[in-house]
Amino acid sequence: MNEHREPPSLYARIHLGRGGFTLHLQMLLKQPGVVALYGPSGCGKTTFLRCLAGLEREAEGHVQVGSRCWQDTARDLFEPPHRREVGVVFQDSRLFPHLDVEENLRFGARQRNLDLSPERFRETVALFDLEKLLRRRPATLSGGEKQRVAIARALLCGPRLLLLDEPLSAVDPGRKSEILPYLERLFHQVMIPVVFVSHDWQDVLRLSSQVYIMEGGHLHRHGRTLELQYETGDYRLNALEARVHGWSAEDRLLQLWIGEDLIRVPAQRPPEARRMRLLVNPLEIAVSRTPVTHSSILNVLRCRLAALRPLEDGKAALDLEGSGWKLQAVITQASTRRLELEPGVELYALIKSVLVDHAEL
Amino acid sequence: MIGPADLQSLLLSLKLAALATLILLVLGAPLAWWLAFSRRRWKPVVEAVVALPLVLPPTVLGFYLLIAMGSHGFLGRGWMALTGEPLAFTFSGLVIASVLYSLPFVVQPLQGAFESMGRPLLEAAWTLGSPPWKTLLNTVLPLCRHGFLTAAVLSFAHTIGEFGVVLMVGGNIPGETRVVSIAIYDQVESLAYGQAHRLSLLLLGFSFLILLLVYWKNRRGRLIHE
Repeated sequence: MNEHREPPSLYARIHLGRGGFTLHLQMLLKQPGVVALYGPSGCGKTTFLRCLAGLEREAEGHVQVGSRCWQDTARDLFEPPHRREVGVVFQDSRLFPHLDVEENLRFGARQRNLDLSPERFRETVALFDLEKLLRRRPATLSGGEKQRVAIARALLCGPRLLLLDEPLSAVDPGRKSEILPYLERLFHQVMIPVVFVSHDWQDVLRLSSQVYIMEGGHLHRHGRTLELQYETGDYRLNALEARVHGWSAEDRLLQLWIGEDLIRVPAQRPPEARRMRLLVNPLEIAVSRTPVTHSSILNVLRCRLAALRPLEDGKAALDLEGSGWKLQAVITQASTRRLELEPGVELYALIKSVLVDHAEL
Repeated sequence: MIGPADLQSLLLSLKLAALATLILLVLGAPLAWWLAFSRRRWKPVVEAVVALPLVLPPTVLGFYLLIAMGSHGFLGRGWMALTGEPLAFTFSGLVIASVLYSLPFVVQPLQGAFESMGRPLLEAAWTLGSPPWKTLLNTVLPLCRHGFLTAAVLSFAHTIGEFGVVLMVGGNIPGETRVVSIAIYDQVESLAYGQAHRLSLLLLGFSFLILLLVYWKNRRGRLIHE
C-alpha cells in the first residue's frame, strides 16, 4: 500500500445492454502482457474488444490504458476510436483495397502524424516477412498474408494497446503456420498490453499469459493461463512454467526445473530467458508403473495419479501430479486397465517431446 | 448548321444540368449516406419519397411544383421574400425543379456505393487514427469514386433530357427557360423537321456517349473491387 503505485497497464469495466443480451466484464492488467479472451461464439468477446476500441458508442463504463483515460461514463468522457491510440486487428483483415500493402502499412502513421523511422518500418516489415508484398494490392494476397499485413499495420500506428479479434481464424486450421509463429514472435517482443480473442483453447495456451473465460456476456473464470489450463476439460496441450538451470554445449541440451524436477530439452543455443514456458502435448506422455531406465526417453519423472477421466474416443485423460508440477496425459483406456490405474497410484511419466516457448515470463 | 436560337437553348440546357448536378452532389451525398447507414424505422418512407420522380409522370411533379412555386405557393413566397423575384417561369425555378426531378439519379448510386463499402473499412480507418471527416477524403471518396461518377453523369444527362417538368414550371421563354428539349418540341409542332432532326441527333449522340462513359468506367472499377 505504501509503495509507489504505477497506473495499471490496462483497466476496463464495460457494461453494454443490447436487445436481450448483456455484456458485463471487468479486465485488469497490471503490467504489459498478453491476455486471451476465450469463450464460445456469441459470448460477447468480440463486442468487448470493440468497446475497448471505442467502436460501440452505447457501451458504458471505464477504459484506462496506462495513464490515459479513454472512457469514463461517470464523467461523460468518451474518446472516439481515432483518438484512442489503439491498434486493432479485425478478424477479416479490413485492408484498404484501393491502397497497396505499403500504403496500408503507412496509413496509421500518416493519420496520427507519427514520425515513422525507416528502421522501424523495415523491422516491422521484416518481422512479418512482408518485404516481397509491399507493392501488391490486398486483393492479390492470401488470407494469411492479409492478416500479417493487418497486424503490421496495427503495430505501425503507434498503439498503446493492441487488440486482435480471432487473428488465426483468417486461415484454415491446416495453415495456421502462416500466422502463428509471427504472433508468437510479436507477443514476445511487445511492450504494450495485448488482448486477443480466441475460441481455440490451444491458441490460448500457446499465446497468452492470462486468460478471461467468458460465457453469455459475463466472466466465467479468470486467471493465469498456466493455472487454468485444466478448467475447460480440453486435453490438447499442457503449458508449464520452467526455470532455466543451464545449457550443455556438448550435449546441446537445455536443463530446466519444473517444480523440483530437472528435465532436459534439446536446444541449439544457450537460452536468453531465465524463465520460460514449456508446451507438452498430452499424447506425447506415456506412463509406466515401474522406473524406466534403458530407454531413449530423456525425461522420466516420478509422479502420482491424481485423477483419471475416460474420454469419448476410447482414450483416457490422466492428471499427473509431480513435485511442484502438474501434467495431463492422454493414453488409451485399454492401457489404464492393463496397468490397473486408479487415483493415488505412483507412476513414472515418460515425456517424449517438449516444445520450448522462448518467451520470458 | 445550328442557328443562334438553337445554340442558346443548347447552352441553357448545359448550364441548367451543370448547376443542378452540382447542387445534387452536395445535397444528395449526405442524404445517401444517411440512407445507407441509418437504421431508423421510417427510412423506407424517405427512400420511397426520393424514388418518386422515377415513377411519377413529369407532368404531375411539374403540376405540384408549379403550384408550390406560384405567388401563393410556399416555395414562391419564400423565394420572393428572399430575393424579391418570382420563381415560376424563371431559370431559378427550373434549377429547383431539376434538382427534385433528378434526385434519385444521384442518391441511388451513391447509396449503393456507400452500402457496398460498408462500415468495416470506415472502422478500420478510425482505429488507425483517421477522424471521420478525414475518412471521407482518404477512404470514402476513393472507394466510392465510381458511385460519384455515375451519380454526376446520370443526373447531368437526365437533366438535359427532362421535358415534362420544364414545360409545366418553366414554359418556353427563350434564353430563360427554353431548354433544348422544349426547342425540339417547338420545331416539331411547327413542322420544322430538319431542325428537329439536327438537335435530336445531337442529343441522341450525347446521351449514348455519356452512358458509354459510365459503363466503361464502372467495368474497370469492378475489376479493382473484386
